[in-house]
Amino acid sequence: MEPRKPTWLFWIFALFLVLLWISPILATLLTSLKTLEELNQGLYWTIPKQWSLDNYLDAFLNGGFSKYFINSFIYTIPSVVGIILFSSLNGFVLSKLKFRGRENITLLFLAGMLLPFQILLIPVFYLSSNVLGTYDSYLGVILFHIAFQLGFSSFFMRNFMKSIPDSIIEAARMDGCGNLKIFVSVVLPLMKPAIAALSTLLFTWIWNDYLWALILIQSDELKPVTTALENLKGQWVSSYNLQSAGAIIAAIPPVLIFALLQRHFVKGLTMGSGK
Amino acid sequence: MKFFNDSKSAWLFLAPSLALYGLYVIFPIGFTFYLSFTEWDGISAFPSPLCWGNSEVSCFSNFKELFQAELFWKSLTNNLLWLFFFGLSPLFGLFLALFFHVKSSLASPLKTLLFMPMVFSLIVVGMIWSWFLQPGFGLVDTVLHSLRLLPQDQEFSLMTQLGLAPNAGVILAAIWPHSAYCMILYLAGLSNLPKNVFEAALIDGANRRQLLWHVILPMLKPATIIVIIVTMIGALRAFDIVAIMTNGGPANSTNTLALYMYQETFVNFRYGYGASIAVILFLISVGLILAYLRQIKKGET
Repeated sequence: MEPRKPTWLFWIFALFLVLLWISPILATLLTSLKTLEELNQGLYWTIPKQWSLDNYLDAFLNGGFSKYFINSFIYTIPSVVGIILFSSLNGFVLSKLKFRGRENITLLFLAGMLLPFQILLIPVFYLSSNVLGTYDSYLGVILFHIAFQLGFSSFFMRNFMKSIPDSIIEAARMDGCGNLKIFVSVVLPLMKPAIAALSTLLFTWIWNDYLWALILIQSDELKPVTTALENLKGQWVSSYNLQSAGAIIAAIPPVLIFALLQRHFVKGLTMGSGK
Repeated sequence: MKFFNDSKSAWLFLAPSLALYGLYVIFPIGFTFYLSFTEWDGISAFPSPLCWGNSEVSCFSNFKELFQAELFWKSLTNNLLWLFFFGLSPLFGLFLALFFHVKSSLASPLKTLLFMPMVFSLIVVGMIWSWFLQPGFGLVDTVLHSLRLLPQDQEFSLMTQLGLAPNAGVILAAIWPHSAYCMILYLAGLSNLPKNVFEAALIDGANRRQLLWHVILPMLKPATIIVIIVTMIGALRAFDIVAIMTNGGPANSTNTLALYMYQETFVNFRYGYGASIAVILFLISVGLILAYLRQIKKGET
């Protein structure tokens, strides 16, 4: 549909709306740049008299945030890489190879995405602690993320692959390539846009995970920023300046990814919604 | 020329994924069902169902207890509140998308700012909104006082009341990022709509409102169905944001089934009972999951 031409009335209303929309973020940002003395004087939502990055330094140096921040990356990056590897292979299989049960497996993968997590909580906890021995380790959380996100991601990759003409695959077959060779040298290079879109989504989702780190991680040394934040909320009870610095730190990587790769992100969301 | 048989390589390629998926997603569903018939504390030896070798105890005693627990009904009611109020986010998303569907490159930074809450962790969203709504010194409190809409000797008490009020605060916080998500899907839907339909309708003398009701909204129907199902599932899943903002309080006013299940299992160590809550939550979701699958299949044919 053709977008309409904005009027000056649109701009006034739009600016007002956006300011209202992001006011909680602005307020948090301002608080994180204030000193505790200012907060103690009851100056909560004012422009800081004295701008200071001390809260961020404090969170990183004394609040353990350097550790939690790195942990979040240790959970997120291998998970994303693993999911992309498996799901692009699955996407190829589910869209280009003919075999019995293809439709059912596709639906099986898709259905898992909407499960209420509670139905998985106890067994995954039990498996990790009593069977696989991966409780309270990086590996345990990473394996779970890979397994869980595989469903949606495989469906996503399959949808993208469907738009690639079969003739390209046929041509490679005529040249005598086996399925694995076709996947690696023909399909994978064509999947780059889908990989970019899916990676930005997965990065955000896994970075922001709270529940699974809560269930599967116990040691403070292994906590990602999300569960650490929850903990610090208790420790820094009325130090809202520190808490808000922590919240901003936790938000920076996904915001950066989004700001830099917005096009991929938006494309991923719309492609993933089943069209 | 010799090829791998398609079927053989398909299963070979799928094998590692299916193994992981089966272990972490499929098997747990059955296992939770099984546990819901037991009284396991998570530590002692693995349990057999309650009624095995004991005809006096019902296999369904967890469920019986659940249906008599006041907290279960309270949590369920709160989930229904979520369904209704969180269910407003598609409307907000649609409104925002229609409003911001303009031809100007200056609008993109504004859209980026609107999308922003969507990439925050719900923990961050929850923390931000807790301060925002905090009685005494939260931004809302401060603004209401300075506009003299609230007497100086009173605090903004949304989050400290019992009943509906604190739910409103938590759900409002959740609507914030989710409306942004709905907006993105609707914006994509809008830009995919064919141009000529509108030109034809306008030539036929349709005004903007008729265009919206009779042309745009019907054509957005597939997007709407997906958005609504995802929103409903989100309402049933409500956990992170409740845990961080109120932890179910005050006096369990904001508890949800997901949080209730977590508390019974990992705080009170009643794994069997917790499993029965998960089973109920699962059964409620199954209908929605099937509806979603149907819609996707329909979109493909």
